[in-house]
Amino acid sequence: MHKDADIKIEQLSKIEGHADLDIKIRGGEVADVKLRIEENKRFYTQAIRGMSYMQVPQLVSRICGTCSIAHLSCCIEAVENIVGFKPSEQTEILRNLAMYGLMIRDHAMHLYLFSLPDVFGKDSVLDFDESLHKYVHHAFAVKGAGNNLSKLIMGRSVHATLCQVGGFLKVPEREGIKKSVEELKSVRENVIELIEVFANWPERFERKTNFVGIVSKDYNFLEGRIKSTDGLDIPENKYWEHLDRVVIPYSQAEGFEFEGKEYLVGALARINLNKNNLHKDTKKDAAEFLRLFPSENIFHNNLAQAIEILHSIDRAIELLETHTFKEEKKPTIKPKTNEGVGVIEAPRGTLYYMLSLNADGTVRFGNLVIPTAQNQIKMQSDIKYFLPQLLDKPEEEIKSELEKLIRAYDPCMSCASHFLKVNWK
Amino acid sequence: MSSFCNTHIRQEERKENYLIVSLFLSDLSNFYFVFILFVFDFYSTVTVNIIMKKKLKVGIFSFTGDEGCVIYFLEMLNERYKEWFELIDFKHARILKRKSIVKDIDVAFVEGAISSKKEEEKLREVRNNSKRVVAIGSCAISGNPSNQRNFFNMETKQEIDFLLKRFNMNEKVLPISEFVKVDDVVPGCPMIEENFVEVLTKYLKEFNVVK
Repeated sequence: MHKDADIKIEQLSKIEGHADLDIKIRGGEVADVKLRIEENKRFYTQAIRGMSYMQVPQLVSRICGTCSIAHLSCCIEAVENIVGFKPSEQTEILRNLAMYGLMIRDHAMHLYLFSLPDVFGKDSVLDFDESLHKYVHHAFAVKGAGNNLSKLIMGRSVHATLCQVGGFLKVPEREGIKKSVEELKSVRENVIELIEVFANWPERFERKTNFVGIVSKDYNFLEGRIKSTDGLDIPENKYWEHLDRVVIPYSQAEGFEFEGKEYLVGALARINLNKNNLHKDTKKDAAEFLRLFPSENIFHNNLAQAIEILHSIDRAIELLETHTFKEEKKPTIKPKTNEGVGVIEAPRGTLYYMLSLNADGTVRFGNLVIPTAQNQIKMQSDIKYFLPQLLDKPEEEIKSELEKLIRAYDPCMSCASHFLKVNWK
Repeated sequence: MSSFCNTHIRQEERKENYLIVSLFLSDLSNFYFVFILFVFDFYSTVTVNIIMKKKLKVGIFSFTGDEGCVIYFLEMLNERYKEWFELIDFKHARILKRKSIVKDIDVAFVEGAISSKKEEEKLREVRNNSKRVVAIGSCAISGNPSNQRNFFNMETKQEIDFLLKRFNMNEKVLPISEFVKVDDVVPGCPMIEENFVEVLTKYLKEFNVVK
C-alpha cells in the first residue's frame, strides 16, 4: 500500500497528442490529480482573424491530424450560417458521407491501435502473436475502408481538399463508389467481431454522469438538437449559453462545465441519448450489445465507438447505393457582416464553432469549443475516483491501469490545447 | 541450428553481435558456425538478411503540430503494413506502443516544429541517438502552420504573451533544422506519400535491410 507517493506518467502513450499525469498520494489517500495537456498551443483562434471565409476551413483543418474533417465541416457550417447559404441536398449527403468515413477511420484507429492492446494485455498491435494476428488484419482493413471513403468524398482523410464553403470541387465517380461499397461491406463482419470483443471486456468504472450530445432521427453527425441525460433539449445554436469555461492553469487546454457541472461528450453520450435511431441493420446485428445501454461505465465508450463504426458503415452503404452524384454549378456566395455558429458531432464529441465576419468576408474573431476540452474536468475527477481501488498495486500497474482508463475517453490533445478566448472589439 | 533461429534470432530484440549471441549456445560446433558467419557477414549481407532478418530501427517523434503526418503514416500502413512490419523495428513510437526508447535508432522521423526549451532538449536527444533524422511535414521543415504566432501583430502577441510565459514557450516557433542537422525532408501538409516512401526505401537500402 502506498502511503505517500508521487506518481507521474510522462507522455501517455497510444493517445492522440501529448499529455502527462501527476498524482499525489498522501497518507494512503489520493491528495491531488493533475491531468496536464502538454500539447503546445498553436493559437488557431487568433490565427484565423483576418482570413477570408473561403480559406479559413482549410486552415482550421490543421488543428487536428485525425479529426481534421470535423473541423473543416464545422467551420463550413458556421460560415454558411453566417452568409445565409443553404447547401444543396447533394452537398448535404456528401458531407454526411464524409463524416461517416471519418467515424469509421478515426474510431477504428482508436479501438484497434490504441485500446485493443489493453484488452489483450499487450503493449502494442506490433506485439500481437499468431492467435491475435487477425485483429491486425482487421485493424488495417477497417481503417482502410474509412480512409478510402474519406478519400473518395473529400480527396484525402487528413486535411481534405474537395470540400469548400458552398459545395464540393468534385463529386465521386461511379467506379470509386462501387469500390467503396464493396470495401465497406467486406469489413462489416470484422466490426461486429470488434463489438463483441469490447462488450465482453469486463473493465468497469461507473460514476453518475451527465451525457451531452446532438440527437437526430437518423443518428447523423451534422445536424440535430442538443440533448442531455439530465433532461435538457435545446437547439444547436444555443449550446454556448449553457457552457462555462474553466481555466486550468497547469493544462494547455481549458476545461468546460455544462449547466455548472462536469459532463461527458462522445460516442458513449451519443449512444446513451440516441441508440434507438441507429441504422436498422446496426440495431439488428448489435441488438444484444445495445441492451447494455444506457451505461455509465466509461469503458463502454469503446463499445459505443465500435457500434458507431457499424452504423457509419451501414449509413454510408445506404447513401452510396441510393444516390447518384452530378457536378453542380458553383454557387454565388456573398460575404456578410454577421455572427454564426456551427455545431457537429466530431468523433470524440460535440464540436462548436462560433465565427464573426467582417463586411469583406474576413474573420473578425472566432470561438471554438473542443470535445476533449469539454471532457477534461470529468476525466480528471474520474481519475481521482478510480485511483483508490488501485493503490494496493505496484506503481507500474497503477500507471498502466490509469492509461487504460484515459484511453477509454479517446482524448485528442492536439485539438484540446486550443485557446478559446472571445475577443470582443 | 534452425530451432536456435526460431527462438533467438526472430525475437524482436535480437543481438547484432554474433559473438555475443553465440555465447548463449551450449553446442560448440554451433559457435564455430556462427563465428564463420560473422566473418562471412563482412562480405555478404544477403546471408545475414536471410538468417538474421535485419530490420530498420525507426523512431517516430512529434513536436508542436497536429500529429497529421503521424496519423497519415498510420493510414499508409493500411495498404503497406504487411511489408513494413517485416522491415521496420519501431524503437520509439508512442502512438503505437508504451515501451518506447530513444536509443540506438537508425532513422528518426520527426514531425512538428519546436516551441519550447523542453522540446529543443528532446530534439537534441533524438539527434544524438539516431543515425539519421528526417523532417516530415511542413511544420518540421519550415515551421508553418504551427508557427503562425511568429507573425501575429503586436496587439495579438501581447494578448497571448501570458500564456507563452505560463507554459515556458519560446519567443518563436522554429523548424527542427534550426537546432539539429537534418538528413532528409518529406514535404507536404500532411507529408506527401510518394516522397515518404522514397525516403524510407532509400534508408532501407542504405541500412542493408533490402537490396
